[in-house]
Amino acid sequence: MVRSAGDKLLDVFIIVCVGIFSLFCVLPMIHIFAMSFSGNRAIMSGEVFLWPVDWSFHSYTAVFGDMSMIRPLVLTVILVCVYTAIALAMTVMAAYALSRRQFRGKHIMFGLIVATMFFNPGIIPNYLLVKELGLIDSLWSLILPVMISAFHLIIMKTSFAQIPEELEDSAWMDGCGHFRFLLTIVLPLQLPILATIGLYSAVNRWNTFQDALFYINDKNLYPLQLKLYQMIINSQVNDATAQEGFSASTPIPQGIQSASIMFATVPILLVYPWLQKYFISGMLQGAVKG
Amino acid sequence: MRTKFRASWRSVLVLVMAAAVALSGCGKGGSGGNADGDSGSAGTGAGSNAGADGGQAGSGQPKGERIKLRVELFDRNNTPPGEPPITENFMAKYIQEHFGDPNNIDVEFVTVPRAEEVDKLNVLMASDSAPDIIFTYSKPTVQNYVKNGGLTDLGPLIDEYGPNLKKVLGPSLPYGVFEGKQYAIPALRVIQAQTTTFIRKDWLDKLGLPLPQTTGEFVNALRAFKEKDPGNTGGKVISYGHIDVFHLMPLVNSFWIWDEIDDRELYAVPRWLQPGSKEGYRLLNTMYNEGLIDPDFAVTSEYSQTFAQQVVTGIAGAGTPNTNEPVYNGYYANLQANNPDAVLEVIDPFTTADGRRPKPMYEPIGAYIMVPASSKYAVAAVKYLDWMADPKNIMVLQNGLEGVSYELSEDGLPVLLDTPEATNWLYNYYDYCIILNGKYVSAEDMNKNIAANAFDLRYKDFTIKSIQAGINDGYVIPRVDIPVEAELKYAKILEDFEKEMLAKIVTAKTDQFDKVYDGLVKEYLAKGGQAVMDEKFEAYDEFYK
Amino acid sequence: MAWFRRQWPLYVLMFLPMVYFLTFRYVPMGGVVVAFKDYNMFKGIWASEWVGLDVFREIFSMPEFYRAVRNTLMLNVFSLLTFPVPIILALLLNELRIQWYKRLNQTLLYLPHFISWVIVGGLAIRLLATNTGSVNQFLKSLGLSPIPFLENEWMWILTYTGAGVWHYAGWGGILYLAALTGINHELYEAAEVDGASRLRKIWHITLPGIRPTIIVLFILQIGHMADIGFEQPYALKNNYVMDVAQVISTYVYTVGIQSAQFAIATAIGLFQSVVGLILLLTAELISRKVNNQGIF
Repeated sequence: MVRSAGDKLLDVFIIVCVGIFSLFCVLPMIHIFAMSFSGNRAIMSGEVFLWPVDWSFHSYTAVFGDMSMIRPLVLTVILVCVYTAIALAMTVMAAYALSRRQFRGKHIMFGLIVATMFFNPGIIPNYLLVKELGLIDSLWSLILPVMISAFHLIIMKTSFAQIPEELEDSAWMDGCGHFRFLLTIVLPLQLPILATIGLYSAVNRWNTFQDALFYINDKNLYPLQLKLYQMIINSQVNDATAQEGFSASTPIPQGIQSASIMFATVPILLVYPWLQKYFISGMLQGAVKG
Repeated sequence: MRTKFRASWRSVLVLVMAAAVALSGCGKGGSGGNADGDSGSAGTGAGSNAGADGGQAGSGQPKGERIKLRVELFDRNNTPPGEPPITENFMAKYIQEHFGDPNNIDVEFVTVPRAEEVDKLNVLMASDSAPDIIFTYSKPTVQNYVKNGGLTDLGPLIDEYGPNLKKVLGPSLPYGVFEGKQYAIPALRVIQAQTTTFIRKDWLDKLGLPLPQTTGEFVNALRAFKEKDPGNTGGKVISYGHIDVFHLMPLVNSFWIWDEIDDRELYAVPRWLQPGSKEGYRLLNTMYNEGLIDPDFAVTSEYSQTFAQQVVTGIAGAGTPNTNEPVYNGYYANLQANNPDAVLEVIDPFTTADGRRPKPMYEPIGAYIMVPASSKYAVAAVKYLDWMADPKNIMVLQNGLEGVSYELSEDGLPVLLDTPEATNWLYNYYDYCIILNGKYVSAEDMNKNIAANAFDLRYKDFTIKSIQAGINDGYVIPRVDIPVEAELKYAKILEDFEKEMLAKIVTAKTDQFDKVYDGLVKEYLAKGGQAVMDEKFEAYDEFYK
Repeated sequence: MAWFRRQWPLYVLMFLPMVYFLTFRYVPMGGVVVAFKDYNMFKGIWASEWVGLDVFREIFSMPEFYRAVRNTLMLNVFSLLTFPVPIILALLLNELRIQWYKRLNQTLLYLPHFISWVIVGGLAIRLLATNTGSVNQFLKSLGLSPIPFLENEWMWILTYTGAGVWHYAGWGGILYLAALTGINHELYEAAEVDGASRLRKIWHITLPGIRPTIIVLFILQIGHMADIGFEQPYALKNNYVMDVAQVISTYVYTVGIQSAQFAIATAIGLFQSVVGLILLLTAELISRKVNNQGIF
């Protein structure tokens, strides 16, 4: 394929544009990285920008040296894996059914689901329900109540609906019912969207701790983000410092905050590139299918 | 076939919806019989018994039957590595051995993250799963519980089982009386000092200036800092930092015309309307326009870290932070690490026309300790708190064991030793010794208590002077026990609006000052300030008639 | 009958998800009834006294409330204007030929999503404060006058919107990128043969290919115009700009939660829900007329 000079210019332009935007996105992360490896004095003096000053590992030893960080990490990894699997399964089932043209009653059901995106009665009714079901202090309280995101469902359904009707009809003709159709034809074709929703679900579960705050009392079951959030927020609760006056504890230095952020972000970053290959495979499938 | 199916599908849906509604209806009533192992509290299903006058507390616990007393415990997530969790450490064990076992009680600590204490507490109370002893710093929360009948009246119980409590918490108990009943036991705040001004003494020395003793001298010193820049900041000097409504009160208070303000007005009139107040803010406005104040002060919503940084990097000349904050927040030490010649000195410069230095102090209370109405063990709870008020136990809960984590100085004050036990046992002692806010060694001698709270020996002088300055001519807002509805509703909104007001008033152009000030005060009154003031006057008259 | 023989698995598939929605979403929804009651948390939701529309009357009489609603809508409109950014980003990424560069950028662009707004707020102040912020100090060193990113009301709105784009564009881009991979390659090859330029290919193939996704996301965003997250405004607000920064979520936090007025908090939430639903349905109807397509 011959590329004109105009095309090449466009290429360069795109590369630069995207590069600049990415730079903006990554700079704060680099700053946090720098702070996590810097000494306290330097941080407090505001000397740290994009590279550590007074190289030191003290922030990481404070975060890791404490075995109490390993347990939440392992726990959270397991939680996220189980959650993502269940969430994907449930969302796929609903998205597939709702995307089928011949599904009677789908409009009512879909309407009910969309309505849930808008009505949220707050923590107390949700807490009462979770308590009623006996899920307090159980990790299932972090999985079941949030299994399906209506937003993700809508996206997936839209994507599934784009599969041509003829494909479904011809499959039926060949004796392939919905279950087989879903598993053997739809899913492989929809890998990119599955990877995307899977990623979003996993990241969401990894980052969210507001529900754990209320549903989990047992410290041994704290997810990682909750523990880290506690650490960070302790140095920012100034009402408490004022109220407690003399009894206030020394605030946690920003270095440890930064180390916590790195600790919480890196695992997901390792997962993401691995997922990227699914975007490509979807493309190839598209070509074959033609 | 089709129509039949569709119709039946619809009716299934209706049935399911009905079931869902019915289920949620059972929500509250049913939770009484919850089976998820939440032991101890909430024997009776739902607080439909709103009779919160502790009648049921009389039915204490039969001797011989072991009961479980659940006590709230703040979790600050700061356990030193390798140490046992806060529910099973030295303190917890000591409490169990010396209180629990002799009284046939199992003391169980229920942890609540410090940062969300109000939210979590509300959720626990609403679902009948709160511990037997709860506490909070938030007064609106307490008032809410009182209003809704959720607390036990502890008055009769304290009379019977709380002699130590009465002795130690004498000054604070009256603040826990709501609607005529002792619904809360406020912790005793040992140090009532709120804010203290300090200044860079080494800068004053360089300029040959004495420590400022009056407002005028103080402002002149600030001007000198800006003009002559003794700290060599290259023009970045911030003569006066930590600018927010709360911390500027000593300055503003020195402009009030105290002769015209009686107790009634002190209680009810908002700060912006007190006679003389406007002049105080005018001074601030002048200072801002002269460049003596941090120009970006209103951009930060949390001043503590910004100010700390300004001090440590040597650009802050003076400020009025929380009393002793430079020490307990560590930035005095960091400043000296960067610059060993830097010296911070405590001053009390804001003087009224007749030489007094009025400033707000904290009421002698800390957290409000309560017992939910649904608790069956109110007697045990009060016994526990009374046990805690025994001076012998206070000493252990605040300082550990003599010879191991502390030793007594010649004046009989506990001094922490530099041992691992001192760190590992005491990093959160105040969460166990909840009846006290600050170190307490003597019921009679205030100075001993002050000295006991100067735990960092390097800065002992600074701490003691800070506290003394902080309570010098200090005043407390008169107490009125009648709930002010408008205050409950508008307090938070007005508090937030006051921050806006300060930002706009201080940064206004000099010739616009009056217009801006008056306009904002009008807005404040319209937003609920007027309603609150009127109701407060009524409440005061009612209470003191 | 033949219809049922083919379609029954769909009902089986829908069963568990519907149970989920009914149990975990609709059951707690009964709690919105608190908006019509004088809620006493110890009596519980059902035993508390019924007060009809009193709570709503109270809310509508608070001038603060209207300011919060106005600001919410205004900030959301600005955010709506940035709707095309993730799309453009996805298109640009799609055009990159160097695979490793493409993947690298994809990862980097997604990073801001991980940084909580609390941290972003702190960083924003350090960078953008008028006198002490790094960006303005840099400008000053060049002899230019500082820009009040955070102190001037209009600038603040722009900063807020910009921060939103920074935080969200990478995340949104992934979605569109995933949708892009589903476009049939043959269409591109055919266009190639016809001699279409890059831009024409994008306009005639790529964009139409992701049209359904774009429409759905747009409708959803409109539906959420009455809503606004709590963290972003809370982290970025400061006392100079409260006139534009106080939004419904922060207002509910102050008035409802911190003052323990749950009925008010719930009532405002209900108000938002109803408004949101109306907006969504309106957007849906319009979209059907114009695009022949909507969410449903």
